Amino acid sequence: MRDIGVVAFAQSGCRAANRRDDMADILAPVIAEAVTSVGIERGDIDFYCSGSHDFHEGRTFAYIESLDAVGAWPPISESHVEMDAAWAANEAWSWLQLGEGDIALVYGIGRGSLASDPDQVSHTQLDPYYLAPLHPHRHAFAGLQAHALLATGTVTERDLAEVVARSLSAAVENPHAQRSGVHAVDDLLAQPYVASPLREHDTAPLGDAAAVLILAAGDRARDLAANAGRRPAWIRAMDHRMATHYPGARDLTRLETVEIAARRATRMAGFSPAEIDVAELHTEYSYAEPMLAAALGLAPATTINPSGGPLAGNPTTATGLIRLGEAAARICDDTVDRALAHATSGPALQHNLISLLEGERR
Amino acid sequence: MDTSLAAPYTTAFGFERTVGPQIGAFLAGLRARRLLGVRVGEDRVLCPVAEFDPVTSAATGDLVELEPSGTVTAWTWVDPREGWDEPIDSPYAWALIRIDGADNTFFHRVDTGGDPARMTPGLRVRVRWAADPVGSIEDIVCFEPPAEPPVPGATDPGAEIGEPVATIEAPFHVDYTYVAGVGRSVYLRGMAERRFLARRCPGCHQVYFPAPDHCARCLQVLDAPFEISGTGTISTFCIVNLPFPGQLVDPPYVVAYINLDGTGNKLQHRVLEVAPDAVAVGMQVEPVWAPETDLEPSLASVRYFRPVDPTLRVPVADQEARDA
Amino acid sequence: MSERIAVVGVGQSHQAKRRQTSIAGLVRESVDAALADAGLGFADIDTIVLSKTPDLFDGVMQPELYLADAMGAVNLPVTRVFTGGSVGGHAAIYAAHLVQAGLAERVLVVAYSKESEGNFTWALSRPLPFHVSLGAGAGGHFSPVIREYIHRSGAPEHIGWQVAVNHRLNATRNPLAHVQMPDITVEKVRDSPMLWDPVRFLESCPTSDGSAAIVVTGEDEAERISAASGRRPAWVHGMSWRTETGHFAGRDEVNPQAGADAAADAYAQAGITRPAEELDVAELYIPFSWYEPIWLENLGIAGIGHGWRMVDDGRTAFSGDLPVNPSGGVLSGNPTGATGLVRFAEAAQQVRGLAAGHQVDGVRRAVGHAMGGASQFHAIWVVGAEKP
Repeated sequence: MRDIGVVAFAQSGCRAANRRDDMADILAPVIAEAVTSVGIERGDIDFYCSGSHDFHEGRTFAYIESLDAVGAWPPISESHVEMDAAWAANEAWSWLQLGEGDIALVYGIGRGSLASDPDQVSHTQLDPYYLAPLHPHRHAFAGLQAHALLATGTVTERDLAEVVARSLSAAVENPHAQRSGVHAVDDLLAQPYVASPLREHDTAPLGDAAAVLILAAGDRARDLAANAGRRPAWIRAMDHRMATHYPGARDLTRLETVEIAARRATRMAGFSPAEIDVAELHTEYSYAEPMLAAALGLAPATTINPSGGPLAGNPTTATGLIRLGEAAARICDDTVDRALAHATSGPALQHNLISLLEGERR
Repeated sequence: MDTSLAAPYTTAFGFERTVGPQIGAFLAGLRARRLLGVRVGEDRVLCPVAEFDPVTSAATGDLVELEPSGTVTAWTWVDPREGWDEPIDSPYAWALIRIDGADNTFFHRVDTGGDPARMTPGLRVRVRWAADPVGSIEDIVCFEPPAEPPVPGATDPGAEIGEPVATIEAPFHVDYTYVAGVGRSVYLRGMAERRFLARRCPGCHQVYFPAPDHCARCLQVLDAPFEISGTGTISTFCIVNLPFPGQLVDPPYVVAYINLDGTGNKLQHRVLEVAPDAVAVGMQVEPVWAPETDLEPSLASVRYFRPVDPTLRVPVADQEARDA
Repeated sequence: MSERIAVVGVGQSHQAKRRQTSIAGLVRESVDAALADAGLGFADIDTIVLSKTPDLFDGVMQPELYLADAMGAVNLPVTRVFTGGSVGGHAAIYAAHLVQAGLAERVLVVAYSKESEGNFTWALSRPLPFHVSLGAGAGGHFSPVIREYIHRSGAPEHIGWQVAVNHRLNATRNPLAHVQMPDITVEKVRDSPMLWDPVRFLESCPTSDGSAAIVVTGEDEAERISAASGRRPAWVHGMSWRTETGHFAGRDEVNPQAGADAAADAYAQAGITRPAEELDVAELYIPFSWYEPIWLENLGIAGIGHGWRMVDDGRTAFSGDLPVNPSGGVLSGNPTGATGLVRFAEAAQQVRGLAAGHQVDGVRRAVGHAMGGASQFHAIWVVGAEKP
């Protein structure tokens, strides 16, 4: 395996609704910030990969417009996933393993604000014969999973409120957060349900933002990071696994895909999720945090979502990539030595991607 | 102006799905008010009928008939949404229901008359059928607790299950907001004033009309807008001969890529007031504006382009011109 | 290239206007066929890559989620790539990269489109605020580019007719092809309705329901699988992808640099310096007949301005020295999400000697090509009967 590390992470602020910029205009300054921070030029980038989805953007082939922010001329080596951009990072990491180039730029753009009613979009992601025609509320599957989790008796509604309180309070320090603040758990518990046992604050606020990561290999990564006064956050392992789709065919209380991905990532990285300092988890719902922490086997001392996590800002297909960026940033700036990033896709945590990152002494 | 134009629009379409034999048989069962399951592996039964085993991915086997009743295993309580055609007026549950005799659970609504307290683990429920079943998952309105324990053999035997359902309707409807962006709003606002506002890239010196905010090649923000005449040259074109719904002009008509004088990119527009077979690559064209009252921030403010050379022009039929 | 890469299994569904299956059922036909060809079961596959064109074509968002069971994807990594019409090629190349990177051993690449569920033209021409509706329709983008090619090259108009005849006659050799026109002639194409002048009805691709799947492995696996199945693998000799932005001032869409660059890169890896002589078959993404000479030139197979002469001289017909689209090509079947992968898979079948009725004799090397967007995404691979 080649040493591939994150050397730069930039994102735009999560906004409930950006009514000023088109797709390329949201992205362009974020790309420029990431690229300039490590002292490279566009021509130095060997590969580009991105993630977005037409149904959030409201236009067929929307992703083509994002290329106007990349400057795909002369022609570039490039790919795109119609998924969360964390999977684009996975593709870029795979590409860098080939040794055909040393620097890759990954971007994610997500706009959750363009569809006026997110419920009109969410059901289209479901089985088109038995689920989509029912037009379930967009929180329905999360509500079911949370209910199933609480029924096991291992987690309480108070635990969920505590996750929210801690996340939003951590987000106060995050200039990119869309939602933040200090809340008393009892006040949170006094709020009404939107999909019991979930309350509005248990759900991640949809919004608009772009995120950019620069990945680089070996000494090139060390040089680039040094240009910015950082160290690379080496991605020691990435693994992702998909569960079956229909919620009635799954044990919703068990995240087997996370367990498998974590096991394989551990083998690849040489250290396990139990040995990391910080985890950035793609928790679109508060209940996902205790579920993921248990499936990953995180140690009690692990800091989870110091950025505030998705409960503080959820720009659809950029959300998972931001987790990778946030986890890496804490290694790049020497705050911690080992971190984990998680991304998810699909209803009720159907598809999960785990990355293990590590810094080296400098 | 440092603001963007934005406007609502709707994307809506009636998709129509073919469902194949297994799903088709299940939906035909619902149409007859009968609930079918499917055998997988040695001894498991799935309801609704899956095409592939979620454990082994193997194709599923024979169909079996099940009683339309079961037990709630998990639920979430929600309010009906405004603007949605919800089949239940009061708050209800989305639930997983283990159909009697099945090994998985069924996702559907449970109606307890708006009372969340009646939702309890192990709640027994049975199907409430739609008045006019059509062969869709919506033939089940919801599940509901039975008024009293069912008498064996007293359940509605349902109708004869006919031919498998072949297709289902799948309407798609999303209301969106379109944000043009600060950059593109410049030329769009110019259009509403009958002005072609172009912008030059400080990096490659190419001039853009329509102009985005930055050059897709140099990534530099384009310079301040300046007005150009709007005349140009046909770079290439096609003649649309095919009649299809929604056309504003009767075919044949010309759609051309036009390189406006002084710019480096091309815009696509109609070329009218000319016989289609007289149009040629290199032809000089000029814009024909919409009347004052119809001007808008869009290239639609230019009704069409026409030859600069008046000898090449032929009148556009009044009807077409008005519609265009 | 580091690790040698091979295609050891290929499956395709029958293409048709409307298939009476679910989406999963359509996908599964090709998955089953590809696994059977490779002699593998679901348990042998360790990674899946899904290729599909815009989700508004059939209204299902992120279909990889619902298709988990149909693809045998439970507990496996699944990635859904999307780069316009070239996506099938991008998916195949990404699969090869995963094997080369040592991250996978046996990758299943799955592709499909069920165009009959929606409306392709509708999905591509949604009216947006502030946009002008020109009534250009689906061919309105490509036919002006064709006119420009004709203008530049001075090609006679019968070239487009001849390509249409060649591809449709080829399709009669391929029972999976959607369009079957055994009695097609140049006169029939010439007399067919003009849709987007200069493009006639019979010079245009259909929209189809269809799917395709391939299994990609490294060298050791390919040898083991091939020894067991008795069917030889297709070895990847070179592969590349390139993208260019669609709207910059000064862009040449007739001869897009991205296509030329991708081809040059793939040929260099394959050690090919004279592609017209060294390639035996080409499966190119040709949605309108004139794109045959356009791509022959763009991909460096013919000199600029001379692609049409290869057609005129009969060199690209089934009996020519470089048959183009012996499967019938996109003109004979176009499940858009799978169309690119079908080109890659057909190139592989030709070098494996498994193209059945449309097998060209003695194919040692073949090229598969996929294109998307405004001719701005290109993916290409060169496959050979022998190890590179």
